[in-house]
Parts: sequence; structure tokens; C-alpha cells
Amino acid sequence: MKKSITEILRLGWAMGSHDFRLLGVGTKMGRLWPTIGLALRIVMVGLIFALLFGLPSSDYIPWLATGWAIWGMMGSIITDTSNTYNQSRGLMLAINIPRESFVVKVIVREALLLVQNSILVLGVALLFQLEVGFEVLLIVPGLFLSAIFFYGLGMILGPIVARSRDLGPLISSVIGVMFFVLPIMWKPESIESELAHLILGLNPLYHYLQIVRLPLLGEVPTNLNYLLAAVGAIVFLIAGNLVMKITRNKIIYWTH
Amino acid sequence: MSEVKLANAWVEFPLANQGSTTFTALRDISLELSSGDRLGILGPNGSGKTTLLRVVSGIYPPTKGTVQIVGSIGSMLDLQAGISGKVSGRENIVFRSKLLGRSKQLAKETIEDACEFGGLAEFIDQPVDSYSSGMKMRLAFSIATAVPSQILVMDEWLSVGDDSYQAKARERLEGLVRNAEILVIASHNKTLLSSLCNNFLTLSRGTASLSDSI
Repeated sequence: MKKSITEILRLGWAMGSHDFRLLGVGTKMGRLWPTIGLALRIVMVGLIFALLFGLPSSDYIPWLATGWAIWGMMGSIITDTSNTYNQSRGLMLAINIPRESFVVKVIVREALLLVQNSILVLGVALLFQLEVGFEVLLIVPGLFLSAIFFYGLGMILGPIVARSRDLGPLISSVIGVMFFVLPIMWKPESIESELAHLILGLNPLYHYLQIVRLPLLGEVPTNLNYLLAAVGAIVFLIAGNLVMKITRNKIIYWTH
Repeated sequence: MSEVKLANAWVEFPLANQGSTTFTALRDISLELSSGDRLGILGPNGSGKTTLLRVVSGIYPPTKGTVQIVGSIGSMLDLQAGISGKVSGRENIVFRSKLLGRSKQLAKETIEDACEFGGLAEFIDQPVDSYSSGMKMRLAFSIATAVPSQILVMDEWLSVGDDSYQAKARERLEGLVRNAEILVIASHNKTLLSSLCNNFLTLSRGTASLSDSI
């Protein structure tokens, strides 16, 4: 069942792009729905919060839009890679597909959705005349490091949740809370206590959010962001491969 | 030259919500098949026939022991597994062909086959959820039989559809069985097995015994 990385990616791409086309199937707007939903959330929360807290919307809405679009991708990747084997039992029974591909599948689907949602981010950038220079290119290493990290994380969470189902809802809850813990609706600058800064910095997800989001706002992430993201990506890639090695042959028996 | 080799293969299922308790579905099975072998598998319900077929087709990795498969596998088990009801028959064929590493040309031929041989021309662009169960089976049959395979694995003789379709499906299946280098088939029908096979395996609660005749 162990196959080359190109085969893992090929099959992951085939399944992920298929899943992407299936989003909102049966509705007229089809897969535009996740983007429409995001647009509604950004406009409503953006206007209300800017008003409530007296923030300039030209500053707040781009912050919210980039944060929400990117966290939407990251959060879905975590919850859906956790459940990927339970949801793919049918395919696993039909075809012998390397288990890693079911993690790649989720990442591909969510990355394609991010590409679609970036139209929204672009719209916001144009509307508020964001000044973005070459910093925007930093999104490439940002996404690359994130992809490796989430691939590794998925190879750990997927088998564990297949084995112990109760962890699925637990992970969903934690991811739900992360939305408030991470600086999506609020800005890190607004934190005044050192302890709070430390708590934020210790959350690995914070650094992945920053290295993808900041370039879109014309800002450069810190060296610490990159260093921690790179270390995290390597550690999780190794750990994920280890978990895969141990569990690869057992996963299908856990999904019944 | 194709080959299937099981060496002391076990399959133990974890029991849901029961910690590390397992159910032994297959117990220490060793088996060597090479070109020309036609293995018939017998045994009552729950004796492990389907589990063994899944091991032979590479779907279930043994939890202990090893399996070695050389040659292309044509699995007639779980034909409809992984078919997505929300998308059309055409898209299902394209998607499945991609996963199986088949060429675009072959996918196109499979679509034509589903339309003509399977009589699905009018429905090929409709979501599979709207198909009757016979139509779903015919779609899956076209995908499964699009290419001949060296190792053919079957769970009972497949009978698909109404009389006219069944006759031609039977003919195609017989062709695939004839051309396969190795056949592995499980059935309750001893007459069928003795007409198709040249060696036999009887399963009883996961334990196998081999014989030349039944």
C-alpha cells in the first residue's frame, strides 16, 4: 500500500478536486455557497464590530477578511483530516489507495476553496485601496510551510480519530474555540499583558495564520513566525510519517 | 506471470468500544496461487470468505503475516463502494478511472460502454442517486469490467439486471474469467465452484483447509 509521493499527491489531487466540485452540489449557486457565506459573515461582522468598537472599517475589514478566509481553510483542514478515514471507508473498500492521499484530499479541497475565496479578499483589497507590494509574494512560502504542517498533523489526527471516535467532536470543539483565541476578529496589538502575548505565541496555529495572512495585507511576518512555522512543519511531518507507519495497515479496520 | 502469496495471514478486527478486544476473522492462512490456479472458497456465513477475498485483492492488509500480490487485480467485490450518488454516472466513471490510474481514452470508452452495453445513455448525466438499483449495478459493472485483469476476485457469481442484460453480462464475465490468470471466487454453490475451479479452500470460523476437490 505504500506508494511514492507523486502517486500520493496524484490521488490526493484527484479526490480533492472531485470533492471541491461537489461542494454545494444540487444548489443553483453550487460551490459558490461557501464564498457567499464568507462574504456575508465578513460584511455583517465587519460593519457591526467596526461600529461597536469604533474601529476604522478600512483597517478592520481587510484584517477580518484575510483572517477569516485563511482560518476557514486551516480550521476545516484540521477537522476534516481528523474525520477523513471515517468518511472514506467506501473508497478504501473499493480501491487500494495510499492512506496519505486521504489527508492530501482534504488539503487540496480547502486550498482550492481558498483560491476561490481569494476573489473576495481581492475585492476587499481593491475596495479599501490596500497598499500591497512585493510582500504579497511571501504568501508562497507561507502556504508551503502550512501545507507541510497540516499534512503532518492530518497524518496524526486522521488515524487517531479513526481509532477513537470521541476525539472527533472534541477536535471540532477546540477548533471552534480557536476562532476566538486566534487574532481573527481582534488584533494582537490590542493585547496589553505579556502573559496574553505568550499564550498567543505558544499557539502554533497563530504562526501559520500570520505567515499566510500578513503578506496579503502588505506586511512582512516576523522571523520568529517563520522559524516556529518551519520547525513545526518539520516536526509534524516526521511525527505524521511515524504514525502512518504504525497505523497504515490498521486504519481500514478502524473505520467500520 | 501473476501470483498471490499469503504467509501466515491473520485478520483481527478491533471491536467497537471494547478497548483492545478483537475478533479473529482469519486465522493463520497460508496460500500460494500462480497462473492457472482457480481457487474456489466455501464456508458458511461469517466464516471469513469476504474477508479473505479482500485480503487477496489487497484491500485488507493482514494484521499479522504477509500478503504478496503480483499482477493486475480485478475485484468484483463491493462494486458500488465509493460511487458517489450526488454526481452523474459520467462523472463517477471519470473519477473512478482517475483513481484506478486508467487513461482518459479508457474512461471515455467506459462511458460509451455504460451507455450502450449498460443501456444508461439517457441517464448518464443524471445523478446516480436517481438511478434504480439495477442501473447503479450496471454502471458499476461497466467500470469493473472495462479492462481484463490478471487476477480476478469474485464474491458469488455476479448476476446483474434483467434477463436480456444478464445474458450479455454473463457472457462478458465468462470472458474475463477465461482470460484471467488467477481466479479466486467464493460461493455457496458447489456445482458452480466445481465447474470453475481446480482447487478449493473451505473456511470455518476463520480457519482454512485446502483440498483438490469438493
